[in-house]
Amino acid sequence: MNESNSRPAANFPDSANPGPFALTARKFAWRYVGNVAFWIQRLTGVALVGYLILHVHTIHDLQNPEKFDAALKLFGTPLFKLAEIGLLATVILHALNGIRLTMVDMGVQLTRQRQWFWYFAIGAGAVLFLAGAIPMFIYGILQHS
Amino acid sequence: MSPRAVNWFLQRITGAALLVLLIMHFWVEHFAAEVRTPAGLTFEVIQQRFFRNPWFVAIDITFLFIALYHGLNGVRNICLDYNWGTRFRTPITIAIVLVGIIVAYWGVTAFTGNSHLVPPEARVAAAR
Repeated sequence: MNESNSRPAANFPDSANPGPFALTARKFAWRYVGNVAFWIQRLTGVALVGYLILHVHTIHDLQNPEKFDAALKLFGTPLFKLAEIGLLATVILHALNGIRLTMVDMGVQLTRQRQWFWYFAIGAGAVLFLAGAIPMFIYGILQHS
Repeated sequence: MSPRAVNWFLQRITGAALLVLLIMHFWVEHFAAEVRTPAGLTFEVIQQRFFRNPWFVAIDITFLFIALYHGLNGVRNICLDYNWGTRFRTPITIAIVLVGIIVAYWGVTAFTGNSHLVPPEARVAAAR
C-alpha cells in the first residue's frame, strides 16, 4: 500500500497550502467523516423506522379496498412523489453506508473506509439515486395528471 | 455468544437480507409489468397477485418481521447509547417490543383473514 492510501488528505492537489475553508472542508471530508457517517446512519435509520410504521399502517387498509385505493391515489400526487424521491435517497444512504459498516466490522478495506464512504456510499449512491429519481420525477411529477 | 453479540450479529444478517428483499420489493411494486400501467399499483393488482401466488404473502410477512427486527433493534441500540441509567433498559426494551407487536399485528392482519384477498371460488366454497 502506498502512502497516499493511508493519508487521504494528500489526494488534494492544493494540499501544500490550503486556505481556511479548504482546511475545514478537508477536516470534515477526511478526519471527521466517521462522525458524519455515524449521524447519517442514525438519522436515516430513525426516519426509515418511522416510514416503516406508517407504511404498514397503510398496508393494513388492504382489509378495506376503497380506503386503500384512496390512500394510493393520495400517494400518487406530486407532493407525495417528491417525498418518495426523498425516501429513495434515505434508503440508498442507509443501505450503502450499512454495507460499508459491515465491511469495517469484517475488516475488509479497513484502511480505506473513509474513501469508501465518499466514493461508494455518496458517489455510487448519487448515481443510483439519480437513476431512480429522474424517472420518478418525470413520470410521477412532470407527467402527473 | 452473549445476547448482545447475537443482537449485533443479527443486525448485520438482517441488514444483508433487507438489501435483497428491498430490491425485490422495489421491483415488484414499482417496475414489474403489472404496475407499469397508467393506473399503476392498485388494490386489484395486489389482489390478483395474491390469488395466483401465495409466496407473495409469505415473503411480505417475512420481510415485515425482518424489517421490524432490524429497525426496532436499531432504535433500541440508539436509546441504550445514551446514558439514561441501567434502570431504564428494561422499560425501553418492553416499549419497543410492544411497538413491534402492534406493527406486526397491523401487517399480518392485512393479509391473514382478509376476505378480499381470497380467490372468488374459495369465497363461494367457504360460504357453502
